Amino acid sequence: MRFFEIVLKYPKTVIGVVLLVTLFFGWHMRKVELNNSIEELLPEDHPSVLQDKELKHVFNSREMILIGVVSDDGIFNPTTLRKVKELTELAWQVTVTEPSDVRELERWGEELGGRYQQNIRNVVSDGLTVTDRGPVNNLLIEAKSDAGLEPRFVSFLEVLQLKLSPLSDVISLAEVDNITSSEFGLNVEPPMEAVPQTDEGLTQLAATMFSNEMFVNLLVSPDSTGALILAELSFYYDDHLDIAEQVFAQLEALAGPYRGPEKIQLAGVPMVNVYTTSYMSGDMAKLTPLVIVLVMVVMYLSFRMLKGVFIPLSVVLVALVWTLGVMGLLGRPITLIVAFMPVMLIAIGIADGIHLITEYKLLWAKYHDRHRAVIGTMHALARPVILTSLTTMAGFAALATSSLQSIKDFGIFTSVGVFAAMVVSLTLVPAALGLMKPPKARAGTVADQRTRLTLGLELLGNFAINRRRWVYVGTLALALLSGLAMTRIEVGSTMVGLFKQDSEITHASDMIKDKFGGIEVMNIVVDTKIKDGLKDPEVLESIAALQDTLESLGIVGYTVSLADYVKRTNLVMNGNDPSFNRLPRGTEVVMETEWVEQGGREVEVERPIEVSGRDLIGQYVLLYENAGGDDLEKLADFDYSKANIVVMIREDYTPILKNVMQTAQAFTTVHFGTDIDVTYAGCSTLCVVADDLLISGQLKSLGAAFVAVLILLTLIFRSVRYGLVGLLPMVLTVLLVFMLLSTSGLRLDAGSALVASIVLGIGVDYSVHFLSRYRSLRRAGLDFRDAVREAMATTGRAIVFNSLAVAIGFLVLLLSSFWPVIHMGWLVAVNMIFSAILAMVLLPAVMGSWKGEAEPVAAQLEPRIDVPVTA
Amino acid sequence: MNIPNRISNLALLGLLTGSLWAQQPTGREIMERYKAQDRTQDLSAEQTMTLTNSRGGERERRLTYVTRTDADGNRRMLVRFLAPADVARTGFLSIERSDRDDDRWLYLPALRKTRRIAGSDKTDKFVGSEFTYEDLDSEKLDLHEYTLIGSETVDGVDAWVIEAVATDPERLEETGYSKRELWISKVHYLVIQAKYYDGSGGYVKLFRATDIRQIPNSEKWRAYHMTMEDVRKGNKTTLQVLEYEIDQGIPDRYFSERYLKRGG
Repeated sequence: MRFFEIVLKYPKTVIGVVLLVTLFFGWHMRKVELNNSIEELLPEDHPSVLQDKELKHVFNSREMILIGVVSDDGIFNPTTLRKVKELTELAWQVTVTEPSDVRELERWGEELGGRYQQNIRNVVSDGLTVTDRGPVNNLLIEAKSDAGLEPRFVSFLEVLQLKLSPLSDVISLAEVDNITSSEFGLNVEPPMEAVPQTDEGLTQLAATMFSNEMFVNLLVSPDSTGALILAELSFYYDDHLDIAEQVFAQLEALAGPYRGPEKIQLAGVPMVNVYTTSYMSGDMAKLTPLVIVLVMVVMYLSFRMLKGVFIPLSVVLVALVWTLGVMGLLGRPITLIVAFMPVMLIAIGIADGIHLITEYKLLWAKYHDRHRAVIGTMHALARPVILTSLTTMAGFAALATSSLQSIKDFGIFTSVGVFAAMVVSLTLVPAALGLMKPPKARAGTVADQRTRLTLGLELLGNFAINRRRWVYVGTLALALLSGLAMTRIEVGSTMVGLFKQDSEITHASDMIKDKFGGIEVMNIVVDTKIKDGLKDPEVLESIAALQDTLESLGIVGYTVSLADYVKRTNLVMNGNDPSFNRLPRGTEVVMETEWVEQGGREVEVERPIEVSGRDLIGQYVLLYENAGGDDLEKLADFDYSKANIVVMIREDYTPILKNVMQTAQAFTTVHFGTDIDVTYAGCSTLCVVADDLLISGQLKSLGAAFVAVLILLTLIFRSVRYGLVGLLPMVLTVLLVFMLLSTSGLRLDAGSALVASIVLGIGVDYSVHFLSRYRSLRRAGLDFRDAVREAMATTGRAIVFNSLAVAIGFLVLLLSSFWPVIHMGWLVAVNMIFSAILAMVLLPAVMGSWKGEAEPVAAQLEPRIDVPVTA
Repeated sequence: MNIPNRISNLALLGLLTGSLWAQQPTGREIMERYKAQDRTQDLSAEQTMTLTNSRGGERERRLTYVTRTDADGNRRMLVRFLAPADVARTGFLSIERSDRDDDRWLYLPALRKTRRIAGSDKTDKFVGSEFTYEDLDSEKLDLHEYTLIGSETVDGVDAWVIEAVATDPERLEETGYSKRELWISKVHYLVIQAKYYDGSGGYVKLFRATDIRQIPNSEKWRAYHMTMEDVRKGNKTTLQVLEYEIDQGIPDRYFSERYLKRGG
């Protein structure tokens, strides 16, 4: 261990290097972003993610913000309608530029000079406003075609253009294409161009809205108490989270003055993400300092010296900075799951520091020599610190086998953090101890006294050995019960239901699902693989039937597809005859008028002829295109081979979403031929996929963790038997985790799924500590009873403190704003204690039977010490 | 300086720079020459229309159209689809009006019905292409102000660059553009390029005309290949004209609802 001699010789250099590394990582830490989109959770190359990307691309679809306007007395009154109209118009005008954008644009003007400078001056003369949309667009087009220009200017302009027109479409009853026919001809215009002031006009508008099935449940609630404004972002929400947040803030500000008596609420998946991000930052800002303070208090109480507080604390804080720095360097965002890594790292990482300070105080009391005490401490603890860090890292690193990116990140970066804490513990701690004044000697206080706790632990060990049959029976029963309980665990998560608080978004989502079709969107893409394949009446008929099937589920509030547009056109083109409120059939009979000569005069005669329904559909579509509607673009691809069925679902609980998906799948397998591909996309689909991956990933990573831990334990003890024995309490603990999950009625979600891995990663340390101590005592010549008693008195005590410290650390998570995190907090806390108890009951019991060969089976390098069997 | 004096001074200047005047006509003068070159009594053409979007999608149609311009410069146009099969014989008829909204009808052969399209708008897209009905109207010199803003060579063709801004209050109501920039070929007096600007002054569309030939047995130049591109979205419409025919004496009654229904 010459390493620590060197550290002690150059303590300032060591501290300096650690500080420099910390500064380096601290600098990269600033790049870490918060991101909560479902896309961030799923692997980029997952088929569903690719399908979703493809869908967004082919159908040019972006996330929507829903603005619900609800008036209990009904919306068809001039005041409410005026509000809907004005909000629609104002939404179009939303821009989110900041003063810094003006300054940056001016700076570019000065840099580029000439024509650019002149144009930029004209643009910014009155700040950046909605009237600058055109000129900024011109600047962008010019800059794009100018090859010699800095690419950064182009990307700045691209973002600026988004900020000037962040919404690509705003739809409401005042701004939507409605195709109608009257004696004056066909008309494509919004149902409400001017707010009707007369009763007659109001009744007329209501009739118009309800006569178009595509509007009901989308733009108007069936009970006419709600109107919806849909605002589509002009960019992918994920690409510009900051702009999206400002858009929401702007829309929220717009809605403010219009509230009362009407309730106006903003909802939609992007809104949920914004709320998640904001609560998450709140949580991090609240919980991280809290856990630090709590840990400081616990440490001060146990050491009664400030050094004992600050050294372990600096270990975890430095490790935290390194970890976040690595995340910044790798460009990984903080997601809801990763957000609680700091709290956890502090709870876990503090252990090394605590052990080191305890040992140092002990040795100082013994030697009264700083150098000897530090070296002695490090010699005694370097190995356990490294070993327990490795096992904990293995437990967390196993999460990297999960397919969910965010869980993967959580596992990897927690491992990185544990590793960093280990490195800092082995460098910064001895260097700092070497430099600092030694503690005031209070001889005797730290000597290992027989306290009531150690006495109790000894008794527990003894009990476990003597009543080991009970222990085995109890263990077996527990395992069986847990196995039984596990089968009842329900997997499911929700996005809106994440929030503990009775937040705006929960109200908004409730309102939307009560009044309208719901906020969860599932896209079903029907690919005929033939150009114009969608114009086949049979295909459209199947699509419409699929929609009917889904709508009959009740939970599906609204669906729309190309079929609805064709149906609507068929009705309108046939003079609003209700019998034509249907899709064209394969062959249709129409009346043809002909001019025939009769008695020397040309007269009109009608005769029925057969026409193809396919032609009819083709012509209806052309009619729509001619009317200038871009609506179809969202529902059919350019060559009419793929259709996008938009399905809106009232609940976002994943088992419900899955049921919708399975219903659709069952229908399409029967009713769609094999030539037609059906794929699922949209946020709901991704949620379902994430859930499926969660279970398989959880099983996979738990398996991997067990294997990794077993290998590590075997290597540490150079004995497969010791490895297996060490693993035993962990197997039980993990079983217990699932039992607790099931009996408390919690669902397996991204938060609770992590509990088993966390408990395994941390709890395995207890086995390592206990077995190491036990074996070294045996080697020192103690018989198994004495070895257990001694191990219980020393290591057992440390295990109790450690598990309590970790549990307390995790209990801080109870103050989180998110249900999954709260559940994770108490589940980990309870299971940490279980894990400690199991280690301290099971290991002595096993040792009672096995006695534990003091000598490794596999390795013959160490001298063999045979322990006489006494029992 | 009094006004007569100023005029005489200008006249003097004009004499001195007479040759320069001859080379630098006014925007209006150029547009009048363009108009004269463009004017036919009637014109019919068969063309393919290819719509492409920014995501690589493509739709192809074949159609014929017949136009006739009346004494007021108002255009009547009858369009008939030839392909693809499902829309074959579908027809559109539009009659431009000075005093009111244009009249438009459509004929769907599968229904054997014509329908008037009410509330039609000059900014509507013509059969889903990037051309709006406004783009297809004949140029109304009296409703716009034309300023010569330069001279440029486009694809090897020397052209005047003219800025056209609507001045007529009614026209301002119905137009979708705050201004247009027109490149008029100095050789053919044909628009070979045009840029369109939206209400907030944003450059939105680019028109290009190439493959300029003289229509057989006439003095008239026409472009046989034209594109209109939405420069923001990247969508594009390409017209490839197979054949032009002019001044065949097509009568006014050809542009009627009855013909629309029959002629298919």
